[in-house]
Amino acid sequence: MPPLAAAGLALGRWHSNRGTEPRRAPAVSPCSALAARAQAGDDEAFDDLMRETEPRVLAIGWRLLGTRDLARDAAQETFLRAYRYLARFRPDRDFEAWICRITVNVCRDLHRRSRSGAPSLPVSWETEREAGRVPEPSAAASSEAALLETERTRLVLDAIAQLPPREKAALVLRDIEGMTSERAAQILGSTAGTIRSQVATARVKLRRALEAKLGARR
Amino acid sequence: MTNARKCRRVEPLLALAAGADLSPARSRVVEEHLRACDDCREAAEAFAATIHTLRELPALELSPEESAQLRRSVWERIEGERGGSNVAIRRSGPAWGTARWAAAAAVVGLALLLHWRGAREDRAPGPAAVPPSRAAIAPPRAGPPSSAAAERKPAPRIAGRRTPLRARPLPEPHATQPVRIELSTPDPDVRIVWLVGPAGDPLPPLSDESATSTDDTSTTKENPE
Repeated sequence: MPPLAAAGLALGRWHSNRGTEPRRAPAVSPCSALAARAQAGDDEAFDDLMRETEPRVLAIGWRLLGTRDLARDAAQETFLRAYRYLARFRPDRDFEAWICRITVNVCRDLHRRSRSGAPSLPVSWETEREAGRVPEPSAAASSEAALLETERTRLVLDAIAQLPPREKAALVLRDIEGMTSERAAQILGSTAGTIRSQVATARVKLRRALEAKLGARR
Repeated sequence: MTNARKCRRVEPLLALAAGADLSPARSRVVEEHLRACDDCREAAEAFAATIHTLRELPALELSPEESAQLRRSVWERIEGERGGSNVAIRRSGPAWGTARWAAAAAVVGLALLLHWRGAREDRAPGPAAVPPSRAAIAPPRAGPPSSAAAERKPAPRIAGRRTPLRARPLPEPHATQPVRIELSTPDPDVRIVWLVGPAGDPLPPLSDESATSTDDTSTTKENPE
């Protein structure tokens, strides 16, 4: 889909979603019942919790850390911490928000640790693609538009990697994971206003990065 | 308002508008401006395209084997932290903490109970030796200067009160032998002698020396009123 057409579609969604977007996430997530059982010592319930929340945990880890391997490490550490501190979780709260918060903290710790030694972060999009860890454009996507879209994706990912940690976390939760500003604020321990501000700043940076790269190649 | 001024006003809102993060009132202002301004509309479309790209980013999906391996690794680490025992890690959390607090409270409660019972047993001869009627005996209010010293003697008052400060048990002799308090008066022929003994036990006879002079006071002590 050409970017401008996609932009039109997105704008259409923007107008149509205004009234329907939930103001606040429900207080209790479906996982909370499982969490209550796990708190009572039911290990199977905790295994089910891992199954249920794994996609979200991996997605956040991948976007914040940049590589699939680090995302998997982050997921493992997240579940371990969740198990350790499960007794502190209140079943009337949203379990998914709780575990997303742990994920963000784990990613911060891993990022900090990586800066003080080990491999530098983030690993570029090319590294991931060369390792066969992200999908290649499909055969049908051989058109110029598809190639351009793939190029945009690469540039966007590289631009995300350059964002300051707080802006990156806000952008990942709000624009990539599609959470409301309120829910993102709940997870990041911030306010909805701050999240909106951070996300807006990050969007401006991404747009400038895209314009600088794509505009120069046109 | 000129178009340039409107653009300056709307530009900062475009990044928010693209994500539907504006209030309805501000959103209407932006929409109206976009209908009339090509540059801002282009910028808005660029923001919308960026957000669209973000939302369409490929997701990281693990194969069922990879997913199972991830959970297995977590359980292995949990078992490692459990130290091979069946004690769950989470028992170090509040649930286990509650049990520990309950056990500690029980131990403290038991210690207090034992201490209290011990104190009662130590004091037991006290009330028996000094029945309330005797414990209520007040030393003579008026008397010779030497009687003031006797007034300061704590034993009779301690025996008659149950406040924590007075909870120290009486010395052993008080519990088993009568207490003798002797007061001299300005009159060398008159001395006041108090004898306080265990309830039911007959008071020992006064010595010859005091027998002649303390009969009355001894009686007075028995019936202070």
